[in-house]
Amino acid sequence: MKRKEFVIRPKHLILGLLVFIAVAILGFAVIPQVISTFTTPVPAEVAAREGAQAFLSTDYEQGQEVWVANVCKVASYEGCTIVKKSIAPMLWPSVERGQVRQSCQAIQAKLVTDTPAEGEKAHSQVWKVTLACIDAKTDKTNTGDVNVLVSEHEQSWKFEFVLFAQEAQDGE
Amino acid sequence: MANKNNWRSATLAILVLALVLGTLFITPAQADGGTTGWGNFFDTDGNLLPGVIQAGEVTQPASWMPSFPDWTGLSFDATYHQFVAPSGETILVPSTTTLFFMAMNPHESGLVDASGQLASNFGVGVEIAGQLASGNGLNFLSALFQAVSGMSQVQADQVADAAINGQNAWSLFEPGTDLATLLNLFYRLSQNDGNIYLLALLYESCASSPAGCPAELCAINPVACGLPPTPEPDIEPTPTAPPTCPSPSVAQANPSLTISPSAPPYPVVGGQDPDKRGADISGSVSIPPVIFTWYEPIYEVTESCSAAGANATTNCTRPNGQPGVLRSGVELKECKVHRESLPERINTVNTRAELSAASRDWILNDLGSKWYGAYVHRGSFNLAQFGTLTNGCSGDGTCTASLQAMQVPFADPGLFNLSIQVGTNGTYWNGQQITPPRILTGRGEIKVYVILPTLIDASTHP
Repeated sequence: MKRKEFVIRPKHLILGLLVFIAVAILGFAVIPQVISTFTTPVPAEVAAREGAQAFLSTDYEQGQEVWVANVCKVASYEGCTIVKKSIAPMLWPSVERGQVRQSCQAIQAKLVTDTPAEGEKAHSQVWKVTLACIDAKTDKTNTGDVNVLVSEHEQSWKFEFVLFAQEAQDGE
Repeated sequence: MANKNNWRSATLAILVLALVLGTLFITPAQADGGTTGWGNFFDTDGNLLPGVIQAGEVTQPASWMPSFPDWTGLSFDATYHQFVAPSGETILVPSTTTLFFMAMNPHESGLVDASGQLASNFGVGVEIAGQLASGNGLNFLSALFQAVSGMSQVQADQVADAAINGQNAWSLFEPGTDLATLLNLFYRLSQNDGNIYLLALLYESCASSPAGCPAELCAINPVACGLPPTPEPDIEPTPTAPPTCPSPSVAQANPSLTISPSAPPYPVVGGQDPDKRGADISGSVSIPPVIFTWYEPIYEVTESCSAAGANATTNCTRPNGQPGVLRSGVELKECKVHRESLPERINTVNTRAELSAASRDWILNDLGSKWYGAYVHRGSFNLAQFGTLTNGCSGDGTCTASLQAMQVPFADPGLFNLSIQVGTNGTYWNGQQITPPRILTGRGEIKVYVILPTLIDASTHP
């Protein structure tokens, strides 16, 4: 039986160490960018579109809980809490009263205001979103605008809520 | 549900606490002995009084609440707890969010129409209506905004000033962010304190309260809801027979009929009566009057205003305040009693003597064996042929008949049955028969003796 012998020389150790350092540097530099390409932060416009769609898509047959859950999927924690606790109890009676069943799709969005972060206030934007809402009962399509408040949380934009008409008038 | 119970408990706690603590928060308008205002809702132990409607949490669309664009079909309803007394007085306890927007629109929301308030955890026990009237409503609203939203006094003053003056208070808020902060604050306020209700408002009528009147109250007391009283059915009254008097009655005492011999004590058969005395027979009949009692109703003509029929022209006002038609009617005032004494007149009188069957048999058999050829000469005859009959009625209505038959010759011995029989016309009043005709009979008897010779052996009787 013939035996092979490997001899590790100092120059090989130095070379290996250099290669390891190069790979490590490369990994730290590239991997976050690669990851970020798969988890791109939601842009404010998308947050505004998705929020407006969820907020205005109401179905009295599915009920308040389903609506709140859909809104909260695209809302910030604070926005979800406000919708769930303050807005839903005062808004949903009108949905039931009018037997509203509509599905809304954002058509376009336009930035209205951009308020930089200040103190505890997060960076926020108001977007005017144009939606087309199909009435499930009549198949008629209503088109109109709403102003939507979104805010940036940890480099991700989230829906807060749809502004009241009075606020919208004031803001424009 | 548990959350609602917390709210309800909190509301009651607010009111009871304030009531127990006295008039600290009660405006003078309500502190009038407890018969009005808050005293209409709760007893001194804080229990809800009977009849008070606890409508619970009421959500209603309101023009003064913020809204979403019309095309969305969504609105933001006002939310209250509502208590309504049977009189219509209302306690309204708006949610904090609702209260905030009421304060932003104090006139439109009816906040200033409240006749009293009970504040819980902001120390503003003042009457907003009075404050506004005196020009100091700013203080109340500012304090309210500060208490509810945590605004600075400067900002709260600005919002309150705009709200009172009917200006657009929204312009003082940064679009979106301020309201988001407020809504979040309201939520946390209710979550932390378990007491989202800060102010109880008293309204003299549910009709003037922002929440309106519960259907339950309007069904019971439409006037309390500002509705006309429940109309009586507009059906023309069906004429009904007026009340009348008791039915007439008839009463009559029993009549008396007698017939009997009066003399002699021992009348003898005619063939043996040398003086032809015969027997005297007396008969009498007395029929008391029929007492006919009837009642004369005395009516009084009255006029009343009653429901008008369809298309009828009204000309008066009914007791319930509704128009009606004047109608005449009769009302029974009294029943006048009339007692008529009606004579029952006698139209026929028959008086007879009838030999009894036993006597007839005795004559033919017993006597015939001793006196050959004995027979019944006159076994039945009319007594009137031997006397007189009188008949008539007295002034009191008693009708009588009498027979006086003198020296009636009885041709046969034995027992005679006597009879007096009268027929009557019955009684009539105003051409109407009151009692029917009848036949009455009275009976008596008379013994007629016979003298029979007897052979006696004198030798045996010295």
